[in-house]
Amino acid sequence: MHLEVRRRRWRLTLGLMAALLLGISVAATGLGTVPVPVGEVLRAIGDAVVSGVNRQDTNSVIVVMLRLPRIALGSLVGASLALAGATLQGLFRNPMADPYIVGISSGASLGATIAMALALRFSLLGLGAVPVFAFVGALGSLAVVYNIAREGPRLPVVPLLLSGVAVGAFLQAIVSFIMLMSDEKLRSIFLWLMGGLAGSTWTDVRAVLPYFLLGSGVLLWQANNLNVILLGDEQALYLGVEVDQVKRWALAAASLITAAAVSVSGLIGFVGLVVPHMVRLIVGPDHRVLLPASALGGAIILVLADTVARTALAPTEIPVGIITAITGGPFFIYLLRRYRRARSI
Amino acid sequence: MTAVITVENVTLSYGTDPAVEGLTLHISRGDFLGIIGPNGSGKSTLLRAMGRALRPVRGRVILEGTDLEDIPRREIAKKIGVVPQENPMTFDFTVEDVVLMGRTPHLRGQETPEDMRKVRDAMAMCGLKELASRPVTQLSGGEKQRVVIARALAQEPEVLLLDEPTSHLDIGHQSEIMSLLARLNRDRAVTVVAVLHDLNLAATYAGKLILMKEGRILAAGRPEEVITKDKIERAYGSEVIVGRHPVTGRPTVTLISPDRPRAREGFQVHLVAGGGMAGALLESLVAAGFEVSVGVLNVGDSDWERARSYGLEVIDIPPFTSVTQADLERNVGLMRLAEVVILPDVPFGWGNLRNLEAVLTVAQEGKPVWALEERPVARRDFTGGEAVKLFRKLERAGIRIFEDQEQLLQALLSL
Repeated sequence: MHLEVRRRRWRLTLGLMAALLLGISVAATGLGTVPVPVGEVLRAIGDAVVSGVNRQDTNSVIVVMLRLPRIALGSLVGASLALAGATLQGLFRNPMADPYIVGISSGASLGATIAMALALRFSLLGLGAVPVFAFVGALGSLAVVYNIAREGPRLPVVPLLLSGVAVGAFLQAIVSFIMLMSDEKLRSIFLWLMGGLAGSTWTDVRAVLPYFLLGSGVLLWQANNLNVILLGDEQALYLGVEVDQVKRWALAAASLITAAAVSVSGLIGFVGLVVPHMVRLIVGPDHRVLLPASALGGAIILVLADTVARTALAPTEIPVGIITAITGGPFFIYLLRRYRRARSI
Repeated sequence: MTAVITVENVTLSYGTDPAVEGLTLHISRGDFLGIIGPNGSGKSTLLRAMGRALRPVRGRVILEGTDLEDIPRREIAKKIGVVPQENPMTFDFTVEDVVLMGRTPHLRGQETPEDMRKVRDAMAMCGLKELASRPVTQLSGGEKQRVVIARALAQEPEVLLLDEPTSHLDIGHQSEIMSLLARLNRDRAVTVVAVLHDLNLAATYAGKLILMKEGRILAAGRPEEVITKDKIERAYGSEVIVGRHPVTGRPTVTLISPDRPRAREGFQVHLVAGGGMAGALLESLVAAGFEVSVGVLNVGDSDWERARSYGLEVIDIPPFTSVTQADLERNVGLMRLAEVVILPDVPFGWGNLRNLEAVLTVAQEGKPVWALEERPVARRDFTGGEAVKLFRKLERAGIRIFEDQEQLLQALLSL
């Protein structure tokens, strides 16, 4: 199939995925302890857009103040994780890479754990201590990993992965120690580490959105260069790509959106690892379509998973990270077997 | 001829010991330069520096008058295309996708129909048209190599640098790739610089060669200047025979197997070659380590060329002249020095009949004479019976006759 034809298919696929995300979001907004019919959902959204939220109207409050921000945040977090995962898998030419591979998760965990253990109470731009500490921790651990791995201006892949693992293990040990020392906070720390979207607000959405827009903008701008880097670092140099610059941009962008997502949702696993693989099966390896399609796919998956998380055992919430891990794990094994079969042909 | 790339006193290193040291090299526009040398001699390292994947510790690489360091990578990629040795292709891009990536340095945003035309052109040159929408992960080694070359061609480079473009390929694909490069060099005036593992391919296709050893240039020049027994043995440390290709006239290199039985040190034999018929025997004798003298030969005879290319002692006479009495005596002189005189089944005419007379002279003195008779003498007698008559006299003088070259060689080696 030639490129012109494929481009048309790319646009079609992205359009369909966007429509699917929209449909799922509307349907999911109606689901919950108090079911709201689709017509009501649309009316409430329309009213809110035109004249603001009517606090007397229960459906309107449920839809606009409780469920929509959670679905919007779920979309953003899912999109961020899958986008970052797709980027890092390509950048490292390693199918096992996920958004957490360079130590972001453990840095965020440590930040969040400290904030919770010390019961810090402050607010920055409407965000509480936990997300702020998680964000700072994530970027801090990234900086450490990056500086261990880099050799002058060069950023070799293997040292980056290894130092990510090493720093991660180190930080994780500190997290475990703090958890042991603070039994009354254990549950809340544990819940955060599992990842969840309960209690999301529009403030969270507003906090994450700029990072997502900035990061995904940078990544889409570098999509073509990321394609070339898939051929190998040296090969990319010969094609005129400033490989180390591209790597720094992509790593920074992917880490930033991951850190922002993690800070408001905790550690949601498997979305960033599995979704890019699923999407690659459909659209192929070209980053110009893989990145936006992964973002849409991540959003769809996380909104679906979160809907299960809050409705399956209602009124009890299951942390969404458990849902993604329970479904993502077996699915990843399925992909693995599929890949292996394909290669043995 | 202007220099397109100048390597100026360049030292290259991966950290500790220099891989290339103080190397200077001028590459002219339109050159087909082969870089040869043993493993670890710095060939690939030098190539990487010319593609600016490696920064010189000292010295400069200059592209059309400007230091490579001062040219944006993108601009370099418009002029220099590189085919590295290893090309991982683990993602399911199509052939067309990968070749299109060669347009990267020229692209501003999305590719234009002009870019696509150049991609199709590059694929056509490399015989990839049918494979355009195949995933590269499904290609054979030869096909992948052609994809990488097509990708480099899509860059429309003035200079093409290749690191062992034919390694891992069978001989059919080897000559296919090398002919493609020769065509590009000739028809599109692309300057080609290729690290080549195979000395015979290098000698056949490259117009100039540099021979590297331990990060320095051991020899540079035309193939026949660089590929000599002495220089190749000095670079590679193993014994070879350097001959001349029967069709192209370029030097050929044959490795002498160290396991083959070897002649005793200083074992001298004299070979009565001629008519271009004794080349194989000559080569075997040299390979086995005999000290061979040859005569009498006409200058320009292919046996003469071969003997000369091995640096043997040869009695020669101008082309199309006959052996004189004086030549005969010189020949007899050489034969007396040899332990065995070998008379291969070469044709005899009036011009070289005196060679037989010379053999008869030493045979009657008791010198061992071994004759090869794979082709009977009557069939190679162009003197109307004179040669046959002389040969009968030789038989009566007690020469040994072999019907097979290998037998003769074995007998000689067992002396």
